[in-house]
Amino acid sequence: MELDRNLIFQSFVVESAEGLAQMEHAILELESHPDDKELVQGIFRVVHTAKGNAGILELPNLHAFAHAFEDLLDEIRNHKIAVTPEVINVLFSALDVLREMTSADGAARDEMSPAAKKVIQNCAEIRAGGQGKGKKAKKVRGKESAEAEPEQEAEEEGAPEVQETAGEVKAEHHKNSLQTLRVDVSKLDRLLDLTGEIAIARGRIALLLEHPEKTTWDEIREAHRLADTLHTDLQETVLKSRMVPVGPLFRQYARMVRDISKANGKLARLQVEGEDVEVDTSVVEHLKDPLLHMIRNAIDHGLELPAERKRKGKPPVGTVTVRAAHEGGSIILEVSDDGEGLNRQNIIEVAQKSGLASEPEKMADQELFQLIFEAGFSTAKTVSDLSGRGVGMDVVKRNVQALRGNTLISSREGMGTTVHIRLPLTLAIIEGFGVGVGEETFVIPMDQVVECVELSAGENDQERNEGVIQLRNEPLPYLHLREHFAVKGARPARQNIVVVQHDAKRAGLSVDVLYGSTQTVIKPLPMLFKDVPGVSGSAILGNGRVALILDVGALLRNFQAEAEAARTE
Amino acid sequence: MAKKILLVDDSSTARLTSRMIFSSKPNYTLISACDGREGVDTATREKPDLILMDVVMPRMTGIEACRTLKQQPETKRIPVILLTSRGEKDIADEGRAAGCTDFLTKPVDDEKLVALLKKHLGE
Repeated sequence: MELDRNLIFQSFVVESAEGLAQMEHAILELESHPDDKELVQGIFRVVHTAKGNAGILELPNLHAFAHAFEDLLDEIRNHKIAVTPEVINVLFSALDVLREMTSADGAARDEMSPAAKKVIQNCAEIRAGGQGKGKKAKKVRGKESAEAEPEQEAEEEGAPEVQETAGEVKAEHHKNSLQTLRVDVSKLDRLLDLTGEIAIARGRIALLLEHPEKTTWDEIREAHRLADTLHTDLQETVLKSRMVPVGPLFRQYARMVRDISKANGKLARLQVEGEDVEVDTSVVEHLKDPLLHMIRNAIDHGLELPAERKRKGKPPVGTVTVRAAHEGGSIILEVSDDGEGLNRQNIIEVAQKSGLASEPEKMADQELFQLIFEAGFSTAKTVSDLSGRGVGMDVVKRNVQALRGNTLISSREGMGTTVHIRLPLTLAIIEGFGVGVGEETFVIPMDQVVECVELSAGENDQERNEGVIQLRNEPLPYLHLREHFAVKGARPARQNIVVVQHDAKRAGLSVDVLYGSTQTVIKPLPMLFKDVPGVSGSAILGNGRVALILDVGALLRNFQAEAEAARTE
Repeated sequence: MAKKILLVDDSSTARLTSRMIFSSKPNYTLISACDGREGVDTATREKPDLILMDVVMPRMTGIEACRTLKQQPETKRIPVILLTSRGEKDIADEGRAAGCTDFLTKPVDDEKLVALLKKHLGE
């Protein structure tokens, strides 16, 4: 009998990652409910499964580690050992070790790392009654006295260092993790049904076309309409089967919130809302880094130290809330904290010093706060391990823009800050608005189109590449796409202006023809065109030609920069 | 006719491994369940010829499932083999008290498995 070890190995890596995510959640819960034996039981099962699988795959070091850890868990579930903060720390360290040992790379090596040896030693010490010595345990228990905390943490067995390792492990794990997705069988069944129905519809069209003498145009049109409906259905079902709930992604950060707040002498908990909201699986991957930076910032810059919170009449434990919701064709993500909020004066000072804005003091809050998303912006008085180096929030903005989303920040001094992110549900298909310039077609993402107005021949100054019209008594600057993209041919006298919006900015794009809305499957641009400003992707049109999808944000930025340059000249 | 074997194990990797082992044994049909409770339900419905039962599982442990199966008239005659890990000595007494028929140590060894199947299926 031949066992396909490779297949078993893949199954083991995926199963372990899922189990360890549950285990992390259980340990976090156990920290606040130390008497809940069902949580210990759950942790035990994950470790037991890892041990069993280590046996199947013949990974002696993983087996030995899991076995030693199991012994400790066994005594906890049998009430021989109490769940103290020290025990929780060991559980977390063991979790990190297991993550490493069960990752594809780690399991392939099957090494007993120094961290693993240390956990085994800690387990043995606790089982031997070492926790009773109490110096460390007492120290951790003394958490409530917040001022003394940072020093305590620094003394403690390298809490930040452990955090660092966890981060590395996570990154490595992410890199090597198998891209798998659980799909409801009913969705796959529906896909199969649809492909069958499409095959029949294709057959019907082929038959009609083979006998043109017996076929009327109406029959062909009807057959095509049916095939078209089925195809749209297929497209929607494929997209739906790629959707995953955001809950597991959000919960990954609970541990980070705990570790970061502890390392900073703060107390914080993560609240998750809208766990069932579903997004495309590729969107989830791209959200990992932005969420990490936003949550870090919320703890590091937002939340106050427990003593200060008490002085302000707030609960000592700060709350970071991650929220997801659907709104129209978009998903809204928010990261809020109930900390001190953004300080207008600080931001103005930094903006002046760094030259990020010319007259920041005149800016409205909304506009001013957006500056924290700029590269190099940091109001932190000291540079910490976590944030304050002025990198982070610009990463958030960049990643979100890469997902064709936008960011917005709102804050009330003393009450907290919320970062809002609006994202499309899927990256593969957009509702686009087709426009024509000469023989070229461009697609503008529909959610950025506000309205269309006509540019009369009188207003269309052939000498200029851009202009300003009055739209309901408001000036609206516009640019001609023909000149911007150097499309061949003369501009027709009559032009249409598509009013587009990005963040809070509006402008017009002047085009020859409006084709209207269309479902557009996005194809990435070849490397050669990666740096072309104002273009985010391409799409293949019904006639086989390629249309460029416009990056409205970049176009507007470019337009604004040119306008400012013209003004200073 | 092929004998029906029910495997009850919460580990998808363990179930996959067993499916591979049984794929080369045309004399047996393998069905599976993910935890003790599902195991009892499946056994009651499918009436397998023999049950391979993991011990540590969510919702209902293998020991509890074994006890339940041995109390139900329609399943009490089905042999239950507990799959134990090395070093689980206490399990043997608990398992016997719950009415289990035999034990097999994980990871499952092909030859030992075949010998046990033959012994308890009277082949």
